[in-house]
Amino acid sequence: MVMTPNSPAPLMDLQDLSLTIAPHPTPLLDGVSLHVNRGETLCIVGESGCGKSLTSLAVMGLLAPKLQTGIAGRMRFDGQDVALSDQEALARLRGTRIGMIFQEPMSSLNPAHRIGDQIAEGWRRHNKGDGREQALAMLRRVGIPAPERRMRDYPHQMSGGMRQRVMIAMALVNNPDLLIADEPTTALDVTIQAQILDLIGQLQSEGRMATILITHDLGVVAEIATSVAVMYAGRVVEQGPVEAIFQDPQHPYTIGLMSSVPPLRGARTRLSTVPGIVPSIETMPQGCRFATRCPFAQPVCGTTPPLAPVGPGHHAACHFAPLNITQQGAA
Amino acid sequence: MLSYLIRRLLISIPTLILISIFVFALQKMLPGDPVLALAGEDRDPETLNRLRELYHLNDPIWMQYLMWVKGALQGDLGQSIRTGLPVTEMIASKLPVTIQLAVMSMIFATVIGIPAGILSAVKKGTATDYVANVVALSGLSIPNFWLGIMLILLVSVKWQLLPASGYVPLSEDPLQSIKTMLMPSFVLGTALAASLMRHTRSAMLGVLRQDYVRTARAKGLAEHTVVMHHAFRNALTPVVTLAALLFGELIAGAVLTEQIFTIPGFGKMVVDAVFNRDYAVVQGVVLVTALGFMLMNLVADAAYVLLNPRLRVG
Repeated sequence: MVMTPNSPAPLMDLQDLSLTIAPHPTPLLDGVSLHVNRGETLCIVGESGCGKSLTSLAVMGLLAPKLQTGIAGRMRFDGQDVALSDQEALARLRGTRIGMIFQEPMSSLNPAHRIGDQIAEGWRRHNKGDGREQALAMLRRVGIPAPERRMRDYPHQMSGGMRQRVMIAMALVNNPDLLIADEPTTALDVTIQAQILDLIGQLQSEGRMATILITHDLGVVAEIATSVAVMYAGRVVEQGPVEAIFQDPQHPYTIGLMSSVPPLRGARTRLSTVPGIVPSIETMPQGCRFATRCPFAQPVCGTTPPLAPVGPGHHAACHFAPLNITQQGAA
Repeated sequence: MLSYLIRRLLISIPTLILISIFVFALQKMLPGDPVLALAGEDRDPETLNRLRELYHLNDPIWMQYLMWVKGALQGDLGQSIRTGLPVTEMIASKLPVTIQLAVMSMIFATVIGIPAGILSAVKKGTATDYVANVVALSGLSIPNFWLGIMLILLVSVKWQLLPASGYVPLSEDPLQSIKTMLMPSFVLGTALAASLMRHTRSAMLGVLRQDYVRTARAKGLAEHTVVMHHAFRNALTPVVTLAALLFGELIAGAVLTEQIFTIPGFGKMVVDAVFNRDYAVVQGVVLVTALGFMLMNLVADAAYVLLNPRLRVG
């Protein structure tokens, strides 16, 4: 388990999630372990296709049926052990203990139903009463103007930002312990992005809700994350407090990601990129999956490095991890 | 909503005019001079001319058309040369039979076809899906007349459960009426159920992939709520369109099925009229059928508005 001895038990502790699809022996997700504490925000970062969304869908039990059979791993949620292959157990957490919002607010709301009803039905499913009052209160909380009137609106009558607010209202109507937001701002204008992230942060600070935010925007991560998990090709390669990840990245991939962010001040230099492309499932190397693109790769990288502690609450999956820091420091 | 429907209604006016011209032309394509037929042995030019005057046959053709439209609008579709009865009256007497058959067939079609389509979409790729598809394919392939004859042999002759043929008006003996219509409407309904099932299935497969279905699941909703309230509701539009068109076809009459079960409906009347060269009747039936189709299209349009909130604005 990835956790320092004196920290409180995490709200959610995902252990060794793996996902294999029948003809391919190489797992799509390989031993993904993550944890998030109450009141904190975990950001999962990584390139497209690294398994960020698959991980969150697996936790929600929302993977396509043909993928569900390939899941292995467990999660400890609020002291309760849940096998990730147990679809019924996941269904019981869904909507009540864990809420989720998605990338596409335009298509994630049902065009045939009024938004008030869409929020209220989530309440009705898990509580007594018709949920109208709760839906109205939620619309107010997420900052929808004239919520009484908006209750009767259909999704097509709202803008993208408003719809994402409705999605948030929907996900939070049952006051979940954990909110998973899968790139909630990717489809929105920049100004609206900031509003939505502020809203999530504000709603989170009102309670003890934990948030998992999936993003590839490192600016957002620096702004709101408590801790960060970096994923690469279906594995977590590094997880730690946000300061440690930004100031003291240990995995060569994280180092590459960090140096690909344009600096706000100082000389404008050519942005560095991580050379090469993510290997496909057919060409996935044995051992460290980053080895094919890693400037520090050695023969030892043919074996899989464990996610090992490199600092307080900070873990990295690299054979040279904490070693390369001293090398860097010496250089 | 209302303005949309009014707009649809206005759009159907040109269609209606085209239909009326077509039906009128049908009458004009009648071989031979109707006046000669009416006059019989008496070929006195005086009489013929009087008859032509009487029936406005000396007027220009557009005049005649307008006169005919005026008559049709007032419910006068002419007389059957075979029975001498007004065509309107004949149609009015057959219409309840045909409508009862159409409604009962549609009930069979929807009750079988739609749930089967939903089920096979939800269970896509499983044994349930394959069985439903094979049954649907059989339903499409088995000819109505064969299924009808087999049912008569089995249900009426062997088990003696239901009457083999005939018709009892609904107003006379509702139970007996429904019993006599049960087999023919089952025969018609199952054939339609097959295509309804295929359409429902493909519509559902498209909708089940949508993001909002995933959202519904993320809310923790029960699977049947996700499927019915969120998916099926959005898959209904193509299904309703097809159902309306199928119903229109049923109004046009199920010639073979009515023949087999000797039901005195539209189909039988048309066949008899065609064999007897009773053009006024054919004309009337074509007009009423076309009207029925248009009406069903309007119903489908109204259903779109109810189903799709995006159409309600503006």
